[in-house]
Amino acid sequence: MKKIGLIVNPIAGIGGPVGLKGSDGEDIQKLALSKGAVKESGKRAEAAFALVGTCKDDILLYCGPGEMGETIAKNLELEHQVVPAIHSNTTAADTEFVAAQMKDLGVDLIAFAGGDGTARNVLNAVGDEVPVIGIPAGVKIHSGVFATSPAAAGRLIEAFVKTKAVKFQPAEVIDLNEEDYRQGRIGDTFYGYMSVPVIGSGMQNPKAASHNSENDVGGICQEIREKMQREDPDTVYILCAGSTVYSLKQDLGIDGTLLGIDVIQGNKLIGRDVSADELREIIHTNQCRLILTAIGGQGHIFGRGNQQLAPDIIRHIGTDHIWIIATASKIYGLPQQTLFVDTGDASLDEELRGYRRVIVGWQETLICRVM
Amino acid sequence: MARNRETLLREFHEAKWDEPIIYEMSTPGERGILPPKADPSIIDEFGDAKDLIPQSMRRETSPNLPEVGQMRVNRHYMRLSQETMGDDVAVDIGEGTCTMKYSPKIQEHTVAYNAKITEIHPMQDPSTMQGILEVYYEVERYMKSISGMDHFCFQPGGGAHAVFTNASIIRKYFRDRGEDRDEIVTTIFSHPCDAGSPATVGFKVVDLMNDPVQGYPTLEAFKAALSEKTAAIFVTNPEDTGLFNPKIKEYVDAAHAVGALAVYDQANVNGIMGITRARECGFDLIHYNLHKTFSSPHGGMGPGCGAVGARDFLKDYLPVPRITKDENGTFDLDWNGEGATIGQVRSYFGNAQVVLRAYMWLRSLGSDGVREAAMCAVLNNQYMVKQIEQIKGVTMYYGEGKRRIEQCRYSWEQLEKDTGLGTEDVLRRMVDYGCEHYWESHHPHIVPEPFTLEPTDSFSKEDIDEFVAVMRKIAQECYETPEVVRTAPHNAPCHGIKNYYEEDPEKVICTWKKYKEVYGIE
Repeated sequence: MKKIGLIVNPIAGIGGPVGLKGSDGEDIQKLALSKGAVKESGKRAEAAFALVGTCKDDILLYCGPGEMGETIAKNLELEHQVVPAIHSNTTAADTEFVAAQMKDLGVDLIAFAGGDGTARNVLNAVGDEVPVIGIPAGVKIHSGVFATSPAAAGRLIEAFVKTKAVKFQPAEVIDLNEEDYRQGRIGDTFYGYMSVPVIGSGMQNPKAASHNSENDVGGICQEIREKMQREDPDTVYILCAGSTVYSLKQDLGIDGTLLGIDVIQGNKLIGRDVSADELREIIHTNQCRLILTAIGGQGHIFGRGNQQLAPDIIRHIGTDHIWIIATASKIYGLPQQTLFVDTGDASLDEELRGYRRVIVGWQETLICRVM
Repeated sequence: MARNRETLLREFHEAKWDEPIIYEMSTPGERGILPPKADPSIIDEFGDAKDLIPQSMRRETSPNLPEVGQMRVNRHYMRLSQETMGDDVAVDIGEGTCTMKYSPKIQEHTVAYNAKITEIHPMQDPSTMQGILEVYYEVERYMKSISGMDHFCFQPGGGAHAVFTNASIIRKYFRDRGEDRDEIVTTIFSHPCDAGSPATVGFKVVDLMNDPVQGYPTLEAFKAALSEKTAAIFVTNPEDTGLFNPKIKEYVDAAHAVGALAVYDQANVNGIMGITRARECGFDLIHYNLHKTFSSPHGGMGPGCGAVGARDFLKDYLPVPRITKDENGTFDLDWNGEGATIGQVRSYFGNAQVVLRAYMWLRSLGSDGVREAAMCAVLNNQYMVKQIEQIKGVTMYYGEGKRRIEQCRYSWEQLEKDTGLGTEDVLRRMVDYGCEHYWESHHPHIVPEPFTLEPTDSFSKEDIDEFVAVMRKIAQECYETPEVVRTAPHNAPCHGIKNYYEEDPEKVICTWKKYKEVYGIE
């Protein structure tokens, strides 16, 4: 018997069809409804849960009230318990409130229907402590926590309940600033990681994570260790943000950060969560290697989540001294399998573009296009 | 009832026997055969046969084998065979990249029943097996003609094994030259063994992503992967997308320019044999899967043969024994090579029955026939692509407007978006119409919801029409009656087996011991 939580953001996605590029904020939601937008996210969540019918006897379902999940459970005749919300007309605070209660109830998995904004709300409430599956129902679906479709989400939930072959991995929560987006500026922000189940394919990112060799974090760590042995022992390693690099930090026995830049020398931590100025001081007197990863589902290696790496710092380290690491599945899940740079310095960006090697396992690299 | 003449669809139902596991059929003391005791005169001379086995290798207790009579064993396996699909009963166009062609039954009869092949042993004196050695020699000659390579070896037992052999040759070649080259370059849509086998030999793998427009890497990307560390490139062409890289010679030249060798994976050469040759493309080593293109039944991990072809300067590195022919026309085995050989990669000289089938197939077609077979395979595929691409929900990735050669990788991405049903759902429904399910794709699944079809030279227009009708019908069902597809198959002995079961140790039971554990059998 598995405890499954269901949270629907009923207004997710209503801004999309009427050309509003998102649904964040009450004014936008009112505007969308006045323009004739229809609430679709409930239908998408229902489509997902319709596929869970074959294992409904093995599920203890907890759901938000009314449109937040209860209606779906009733429509599909699934036994359920309702977790109360704060308001009658749903807001972001309600999503967080319901998700937090589900965490306290000890659910095994939260399935939520919405977009990147909803993912952020769930992240705020449960962090990476409760596994989640996102049912794509919003306008912006950039985060790696979403299944590729409602049906894929349904299949994942079914598989999660029916099989013990479940592994978990962190997936990024990314969101655009909608106001910027409406003005034509793209400025996406990385908010953190949630834990997602990996069962065959089905998650948005990675798109094809079903073979161990495509998620070979252990192999990547081993390759980096061997590369380090071939370097001068005084070399300084600048380890950037992200779950792949964080795994490396753990493998090296370093008390590093998930979201910050840490610096090691001789396998000792000499800087934790450093700023650009602190980095400048360190690189000034040392030979450095920069180890970084790409943001999943999106592909930036510079300019997102590592703004401490100012152009002058990257130049000083040297563009030949960058080791990019990523699981192969992360690369396969990128749009057109392309990496992006946005350092804020056009000529440096140009220098970084072309084809670069990405370490995807022990003695294994992928050549990727950098744009 | 005959097949519906208008829809081309069958009302099909596969046999279902609820057959027990053979261990459950066991009755103590029941026997299939009772081997006669050895004649006393033999025992007098050689002693007890048991004593010929070293003490350390003898088991102390009898093996736990089922005890079942011949008739029941035969019935058991006949029933199981009725619960499987194969290309003798179904239109097997779906196994793309596998080149499921018809292998004439006379080849099977010769290989399985002709005493001249079944009763020889590779340790016999070569003078007593001139026939099979001549077959090897002749097939080598035909392969040289088809590929343009200078020498062939038939020892490897399959395609990945042939790539392993080629990687071993390359390692030894550069060691002998004192060059420290430890990387190989391959492409993401080449066969996975083009990365895997060289990695097993000890090479570092540099894999190239495809260009999102043309489907295979650009020359610029390819050059970015090459360096003084590159030992060789291992590339498949046409790749499994069905797209042929017409500028392959430029890629080979780029590899040669940095001192690397070039290896052509031609496991499936069905669309280009007799039309374009590895030699003119500049390759140094190649392999063909005789069990694909050259008509040995393929699948079920049955005996295969990865024929390795090499240029003159690599001849001495080929595995031994080499088959030789002297001026009197006598065939012999050369076990020593010229000293540089990588040795043996398999016992004796490989799977002789596969080489013999290739010999029969090639002799029956002749050189014009081989070329015609390739043209038929390509023509069949052009016809099929035109039909499949019109089915609602199907998309084709890469190479817009470009012809696919002998196979094509399609995508149900749009179908999945529209209906929530993807490639795994469609393939499970196929058996309900009497078709073997299709093959999705090698990993990684960069093309989402993939499926790969290959209507080889053997299939008639009617076969293709029936297969297409089934695909069209299932796509229609996905849009109109999705529940039927989601719960398929309905007319097969097993229902609802999901792909992820393979990864679940509790669902995969490979031994009787484990079976008893899981089902609580005493």
